[in-house]
Amino acid sequence: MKGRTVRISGVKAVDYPAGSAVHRRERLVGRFDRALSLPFDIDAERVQAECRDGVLALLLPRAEHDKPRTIKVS
Amino acid sequence: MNDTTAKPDAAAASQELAVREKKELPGEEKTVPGRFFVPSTDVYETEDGLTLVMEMPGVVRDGLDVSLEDGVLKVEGRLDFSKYEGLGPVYTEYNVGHYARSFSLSDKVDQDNIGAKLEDGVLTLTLPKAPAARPRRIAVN
Repeated sequence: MKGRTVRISGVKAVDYPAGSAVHRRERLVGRFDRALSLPFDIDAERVQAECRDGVLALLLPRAEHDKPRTIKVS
Repeated sequence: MNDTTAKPDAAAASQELAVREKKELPGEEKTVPGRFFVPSTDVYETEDGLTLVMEMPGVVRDGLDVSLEDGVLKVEGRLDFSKYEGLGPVYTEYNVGHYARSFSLSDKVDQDNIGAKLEDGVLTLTLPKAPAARPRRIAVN
C-alpha cells in the first residue's frame, strides 16, 4: 500500500508427480505483480486481506480524512 | 526428469504469469442464473491412473457436483453469489461465474473408484486404471 496504490505480487506454481506423463496442460504458472490505482486514499491500518478457496479479497476502507463532507450553508 | 518437476516454485518464479481471459462454456444452456466458465484443467497419467486437476476459484464443497453417467464424468462447480449481493461494480475484469466441464472416460478407468478432493478452489480427481489396463510384467519362461 502506498498512497492510492495497492500492489499485489506472488507466484503461482503447479506440481506434477515425478514420472507422470502430462496429457493436457492448461493451468498457467508464473509470477505476477500488479499495481492498482484507487480513486481515494486508503486507511492502511484497517485494510483486510482474505485468501479463500483460491480467491483473494481485499477490503480497502476509505481514509477518514478523504471522505466527502457536507458543509452546511448558514 | 527435468527441473520443472523438481522445483515448481523456482520454475514458476522465473516466468511471468500470462493473462488469459476465462473461457465461457459453449453449447448447452443452463437453467441456473449466472455465467458458466470452463475450468482450466491439467491431465496427467501415472502408472496407477489419471489425475485431473481443475481450477475453480471460489467454489466450495457444497457447490460442487461430480457425477458419472454412461462413461461421462461431469463436473459442475457453482458459486455462492450471496457475498456479492448489494455490491455495486466499479470495475470488473474477473467476471464471477460458475464452472462446468465434462470428460468422456475410456474403459481403462476403474469407474467405481474415482476420488475427488477440493482444496483452495482446486479440484483434484483421481481416476485409477482398471486392473486390466495396468501395466504388467510378463515373465518369460
